[in-house]
Order: sequence, then C-alpha cells, then structure tokens
Amino acid sequence: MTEAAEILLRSLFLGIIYAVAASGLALIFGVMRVVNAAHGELIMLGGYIAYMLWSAAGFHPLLAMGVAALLMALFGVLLQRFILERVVGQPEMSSLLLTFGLSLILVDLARGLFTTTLRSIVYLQEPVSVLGASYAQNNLLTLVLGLGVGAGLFLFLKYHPLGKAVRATAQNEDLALACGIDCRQVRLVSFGLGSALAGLAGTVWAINYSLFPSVGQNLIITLFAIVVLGGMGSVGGAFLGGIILGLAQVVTARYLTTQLSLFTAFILLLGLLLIRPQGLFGAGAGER
Amino acid sequence: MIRGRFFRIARSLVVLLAAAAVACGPQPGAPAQPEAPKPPIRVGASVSLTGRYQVEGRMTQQGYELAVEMLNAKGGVNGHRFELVTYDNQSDAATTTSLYRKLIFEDKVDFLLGPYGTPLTRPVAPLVDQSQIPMITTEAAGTEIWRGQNLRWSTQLITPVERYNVGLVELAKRLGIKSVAYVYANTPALVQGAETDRGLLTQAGISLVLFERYEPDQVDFNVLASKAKATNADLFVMNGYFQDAVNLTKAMSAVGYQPRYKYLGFTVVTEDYIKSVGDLAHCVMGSANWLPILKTKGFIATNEEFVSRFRAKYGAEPDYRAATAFGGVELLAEAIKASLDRTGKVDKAFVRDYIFNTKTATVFGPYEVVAWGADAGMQVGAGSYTIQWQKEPRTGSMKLEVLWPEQYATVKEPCTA
Repeated sequence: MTEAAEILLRSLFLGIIYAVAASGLALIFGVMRVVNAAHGELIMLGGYIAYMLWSAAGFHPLLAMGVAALLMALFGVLLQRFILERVVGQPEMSSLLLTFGLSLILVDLARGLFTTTLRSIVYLQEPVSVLGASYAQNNLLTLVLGLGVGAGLFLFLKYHPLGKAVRATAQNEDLALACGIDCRQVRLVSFGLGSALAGLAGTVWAINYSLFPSVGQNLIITLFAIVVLGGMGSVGGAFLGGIILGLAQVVTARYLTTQLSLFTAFILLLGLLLIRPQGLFGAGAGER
Repeated sequence: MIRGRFFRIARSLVVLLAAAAVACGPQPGAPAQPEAPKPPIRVGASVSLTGRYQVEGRMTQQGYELAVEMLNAKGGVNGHRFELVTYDNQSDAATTTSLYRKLIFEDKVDFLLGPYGTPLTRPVAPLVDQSQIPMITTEAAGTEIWRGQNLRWSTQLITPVERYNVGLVELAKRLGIKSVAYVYANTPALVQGAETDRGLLTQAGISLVLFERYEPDQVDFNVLASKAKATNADLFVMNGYFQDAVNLTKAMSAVGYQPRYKYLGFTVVTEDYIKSVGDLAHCVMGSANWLPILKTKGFIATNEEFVSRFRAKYGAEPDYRAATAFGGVELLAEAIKASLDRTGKVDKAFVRDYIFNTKTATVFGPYEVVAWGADAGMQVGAGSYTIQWQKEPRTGSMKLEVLWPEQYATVKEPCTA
C-alpha cells in the first residue's frame, strides 16, 4: 500500500511538470496550427526570469513565479503579434522552421545573458514524510500548483467566453469567424497563455531541478511526444499525456531500470499510435 | 675671392651631409632591417559552449584561452605567437567531427587540442590520425579511444577513467565498508570506469547491492535515489556528470536518503556544485584529478600562477577541466619549442614524437603516455585524489578537504551523514 502510494505520488509529481509544460504547447498548436519548436526556450526563459527575480531582486519564489508567468505572457503576445502571425495559415513546416530559428536565437541570448552555469531556485528542499515515504516539500508544492493550473485551465476553456472562443477557433476557424469571433485576438490570447504556462513550468523546473540555456532543447522532444500522445492540439490530452508519461517513467525506473525510463515516452507513443493514430483526445479524420 | 668662398661653402655642405648620412645610417652591430614577425602557430579546438557539456566546455575554453594569453604575453614560443581557433560543438559528436574536419581542411590549423569528454573525442581521433596533425586530447578520460587502436597522432593528458576512483576503493577498505549502491551514466567512458570499479570493489570483498545505469539525459533521480535507499548500503556511489550530481544530490535529500557515506564522482569538486546545492553538499565525497593546492609546474606557469591568473581573469575558481585545458596548451608549446630548438622549424612529425615519448609535467600534473604499441598515446602518469566537502561549524561555509592519498590528506577521516 505504501509502495503503491509512493509510486503514485512520485508519478504525479513528475507528470504534473510535464503536463503544465506540454499543455502550453498543445494550446498553441490547437489554435494556431503552429508547431512551436521554441516552446522549450520559453520554458527556459520563464525559469531564468523567476531565478533572477528570486536571486537578484529578492522576490519570494512564488511571487517570482507569478511575475515570470506574466512577463512570459507579454513576451508571447509580442512574439505572436510581430513574428508568428506571419506564418499562421502557412504550411506547418514554415512555423517549424521559424520557431526552430527562434529557439536557436533564444538559447544563444540566454547563454550570453545568464552564462552556462547551472542555476536553481533553492526553495523548500527539506524532506517531509507522506504515507511512509519522503518527498521534498517543493515536490509536493509542485503537485498542488500543477493541479491548480490544470483545474484553472479547464475552467477557463470550459466556461469563460474567451476560453470558449479559444476552443471554437481550435475546432474550426472558419466557423468561428462566421460566428463573429475575433480569431486574431484569440491567437494572441492563446500564445500569451501558452507562454505563461511555459513560464510557470520553467519556474517549477528551476525549483525542482536545475536550469541552463539549452534545457528546453533537451525537453522539447519529450513534450512533442506528450502532445502527440494526448492528441495534437488537445490541451486536456496533453495534460493527461504528461501524467501518463510520468507514471510510465516512474514505474519503469522502479521495476525495470532507470536507463529505460527516458525511452518510455516513445515506446508509449509508438504503441498508442498503432491503436489510435489520432492520440488520446485528438479528432480522427473527418471528425474535425 | 668669391670663387674661394663658394668652394668653402660647398665643402662644408658636403661634410655636413656626409655627417648626417653617417648619423642616420645603420649603427654598427644593428640589423639592417627590423625583424619580420614570425608566423603565428594556429591551434584549433572545438569546445562545448552549448548542450549538456556546456558547464564543462566553458572551463575548457577558458583554460585554452588563458594559456594562450599567458604564453603570448611571454613572447610565444621562440617568437611564434599562438593563435587559437575554436568553435562551439553544441556537445554533439557529429557536429564535433565536422568542426574538426573544418579546422583541418578549411582553416588549415597547425595543431589540435581536444574537445570535452570521451563521446565527443572518440570520433575525432581517427580523423586526426588520417590528417596527421598532432592533437593533445585534454579531457577525454575514456581509454577505449587509445586501447588497441594504434593511434599515432593523439595523446591523452587527463587521468584515465579507470584511475578516477582508485582512492575510493582504498578508502572503502580502510573504513570497513561492506556494501555499495552504485549508479552510473551510460556513456562509454563512465561505463568503462564503473566496470573497473565493480572489479576493484568485488576484489576487495565489498558487495555491490545495486549497480544501475541511467541515460545521460536523466533529470529526475527521485526513483533511483529511493531504490538506492531501499538497499541500505553503507556507501552510495554515483559516476556521472555535473548536472547528474546536482540533481541526484537534490533527489537524495528529497527522498530522505542519508547513507553513511556518499560519493558523487568527479564533478562535485567544483565551486559550481556548492552554488547549486548549498548545504546539501555536506559530507559528499568525490574524486579530483587536480587541486588548486598542488605544487605543479608546466611550460607556461606554476599551478599557483595559473590559479591566481584564472581568478583574476574570469572572477571564478578554475577546476580540473580548466587545468587540463591549460596543461594541453603547455604541453603543445613545450613540444613546439623542442622542435624549433632542435630542427629549427615547427615540425609536426617531431612534435608528434615528442608528445608520445616525453615524460614531463604541466599545471595539471605528471604527463607520460604509452609510447609505442597498440595502446600508444594512453596516459599512464596522472593520478587522482579523493576529496570531501565539509561544513565548517564556525562559519557555516563549505570547505574542500582531501582524504586520499595520505601525503596530501587534510583530514584523517571522512565525515558521515
């Protein structure tokens, strides 16, 4: 029983980080059909902003997280308005190339600004015992925050008029336009929200692990796998996909070997795509 | 009358002009023309400024740069200045190989220095042998690059990975350790090192209750730390890279894992480790290939000079990677000087023979490689030291103590958690 609880909590803790990080990527793809290869760098930038606010300006880590999310939202809106709007409606390869270039620029910029030294936000590192197993307090805080973000995102997309507009645009942009939805504004909101989620994920990453300029490049492949697993463009699917991946990695590391745990995402993806090519929550051909 | 005056004036002018010509002409013993500057010696390297080895790669780059700067400030080698050509290899083996190809065939550098790490150096070594340009590999600890390969143009400067943890095994025997949980990164050099350690520990009658590999991109170590905790081993060992050491230290704290002794490999010796984990570093042991307190001396500087110049230039403490990089430039400069002194020119074949046959020292420490045969180029002279971070009770700051070898030990016994 204790072991099962430990596995579940460790899976949720790992999975929730993936979930928050991947849901922003899924939101951006869902609304704009933009394959954002720079999403990992948005996570990295968010983490560094929070780190600088904490270490240089003396902000409380949670306040730094909030400010980092807001600043990343603003950065995302500007990025969308002046750069990415140009590739909306273009073949997906255009957005992939553009954001890939953007990611290289951001990594280089971060290297110049922050150097390549590993950075961490030291916060709530002390262990606490829950159901017979030890966890860092920041692990548990991450779990609570992640679940809160997931719930907030769900409520926003389900009930808020802007959230409904986001969903409508993601499902059928032409029909959304016909219904009077300002799709351009929806795209700005979506990219801003996706970037804010990246900012949150980056801060959580800096608290639990460590930051360096190319951290996003290491993460992005896993995030793409999660988005495909959940169904391209499905925010809920990405959220669930993240948690499933966390569970799979923890179980693999615990009962098989740690070495295999990183491949789990791709093994899962391969297995699922054979059974359900559109992913967990993706619309199949003809459904969209 | 007028005619005589004219001749006097003309004679005076001639004398004056002649005197001026003598005064402005070359002085006896002075060269006729100012000496033309000697051509620079171009030295190429690719370094990891981005990607997973970026922390290590930055130190490599700084070590190379500082050595070249100090060498050139002394006038270079017999008047030949060193010119460093470096590119970022993004910590990627394929990029590294293509960059060395560029350095050799496009930039046409005279000599080469190695990148950081065995995975990046391995594919480069055969290319260097084909191109017949001497290369000093400063930071490739894996011996499989040389062992049985008959390499003729590259030598190893750093301590071989098999000798990283010699002190650990000696210490484990002395401390009466019965069981070890051992985890290691899945890179060829570290796998090789782990297998060597397994043999040595088993020979010493110490049981390995966990021996598990992880991928180099692993970030979350909570489950692995939790598994190690369940073994209740006396000693926990990690043989991995810097990022792994930082994340594993945090994970051990998170899962409440406090083994009697913990040894987290060869990267924890750096100040960056303390900055990243703070007080969690207390009682963490590791190995060091080089220490700032060593009384070593190379072609360019003493260890003390190297450390103080590094601090002044970069505002940070150098680590063993900066020292090996610095030592690589020192060895190359020493070999080129020998070539210039004995052959009168910069002879690549002479430099090659020199770096394979000499027994010398750099700021990093002793240098001696296998001179001939299948393992030629493999380091046999350099050693390692076992260290531990201990929190000073009065100041609360972390202090690096040396545990082994005994002649360098600053404390007799390691602290326990």
